[in-house]
Amino acid sequence: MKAYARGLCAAAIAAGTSGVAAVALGDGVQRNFAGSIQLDYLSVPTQDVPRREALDGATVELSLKLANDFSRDISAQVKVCYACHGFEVGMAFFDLRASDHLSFRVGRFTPSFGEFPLRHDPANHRTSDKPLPYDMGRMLRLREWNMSVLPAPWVDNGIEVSGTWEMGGLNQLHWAAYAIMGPKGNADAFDFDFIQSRTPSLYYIDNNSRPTLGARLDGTLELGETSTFSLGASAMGGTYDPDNKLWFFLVGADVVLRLNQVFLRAEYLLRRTQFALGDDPAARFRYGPGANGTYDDFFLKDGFYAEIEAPVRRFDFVLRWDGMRRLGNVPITSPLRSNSAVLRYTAALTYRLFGAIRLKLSGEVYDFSDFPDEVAVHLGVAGPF
Amino acid sequence: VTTSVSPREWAAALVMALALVAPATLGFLGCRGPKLRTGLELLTQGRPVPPEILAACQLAAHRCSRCHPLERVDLAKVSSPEHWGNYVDRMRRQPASGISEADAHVIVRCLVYRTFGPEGIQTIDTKGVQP
Repeated sequence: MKAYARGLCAAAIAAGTSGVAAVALGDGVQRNFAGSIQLDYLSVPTQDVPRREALDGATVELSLKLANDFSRDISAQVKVCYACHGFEVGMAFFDLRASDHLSFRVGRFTPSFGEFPLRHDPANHRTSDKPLPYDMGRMLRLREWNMSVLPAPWVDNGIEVSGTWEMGGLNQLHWAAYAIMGPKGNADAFDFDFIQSRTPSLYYIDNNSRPTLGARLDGTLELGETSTFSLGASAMGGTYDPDNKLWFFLVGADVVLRLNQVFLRAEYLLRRTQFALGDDPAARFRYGPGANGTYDDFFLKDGFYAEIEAPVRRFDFVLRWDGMRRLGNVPITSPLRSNSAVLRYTAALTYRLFGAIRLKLSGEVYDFSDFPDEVAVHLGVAGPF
Repeated sequence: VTTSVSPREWAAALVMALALVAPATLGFLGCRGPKLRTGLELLTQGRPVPPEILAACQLAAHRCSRCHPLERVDLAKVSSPEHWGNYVDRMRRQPASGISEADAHVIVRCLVYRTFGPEGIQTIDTKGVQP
């Protein structure tokens, strides 16, 4: 019933705006409607029943966005998404700008962390899926790995303060700091429980009365008239359990080299996550205590990707290398070890069929440290409207 | 004599077949299909434009493709030259947009010309449309 109601809300937004893609309202208020769709089919030919280890088959990602410009300094955006989780609100915020050096974003939004989340919309990135450190459910063995380091888009309630300094030419410095609800988990958690962040039965509210804090600093350097080099650093931290005892810290670094229309991108993310040892760690964990007789109460999860994207007429070609690693004790039932890794090699191309609609094709080879290697093939169609 | 083909061999064959067939097919379709405008040509709609607008559109083509395909610009519907001003300003405020305030003024000129022609440029010159 709730899903039905949410569907109706989304349909109402779409219906209310579809006939008015751009409207100038009274008092200079302007409204725009936009969206995107991706249908992707994931096949894992190295598995008889891929569903056991992946969300294979066809998935649709839909987004419907409404932007309202009240004035030059005040705007609001609402975005409704439909994908594997059903209808979700991906954006619902106000942007309030005092100056270029000081802006406020309040509501539900994706906080500034890393470079990829800027392009998370499937119509804005060329591969069918996301880089491993940002994967949200399309990687193979997602349950064994409990997904990625920071699934993108990470949507959360809170406030973000940001600013930009222009330093001539294409040179810019941008900063952001935010307070959000943060990830959630149980009091006896081994790791984040991502489902708790999108479960109406637990409410879309903070689970521990403490905000998660984060910040980002990035700069762009002009290399030539159409070439830039961008460098960014991000951090986020807080507690994720209801009792405020389990801490996590997440840091990231990203570089983007743009040579005209060719992009070279690389990012690295590292998360230190504290887990509950419980009353009897020996019964809970696969590995025993360290040399000092005590159990470590945290694990490290890091991930990276490096990719090159080059357009050639109606084609875009992407070569991507990404991976993830987990270091630390594991639950006694986990198939992972204390040092597990996955590397993935992706070759992808897109072909512009018509207007902005693209056919996406990619082949991926997974190299797991704890499981047999796998091959995955994506075929999809994506486009904005 | 029976031979069995492992899933791994099927996968290798499938990937090789796709790698060979897909680009060839798409390339064939691309050569035969209607010409799609890309980059700068998409913004100027393939029409001759004044040098100032051409330069503005070159800048727009570069800046706007930082975060999204340029066709997003093609799809945007605006109701007035002022609307483009606010639209571009909202994009400029996105984190790491790479669009400076001076850039925004130039980009708006390209987009206004594209949508409203020389009359649109006249309007923003008269009214002084921000960003």
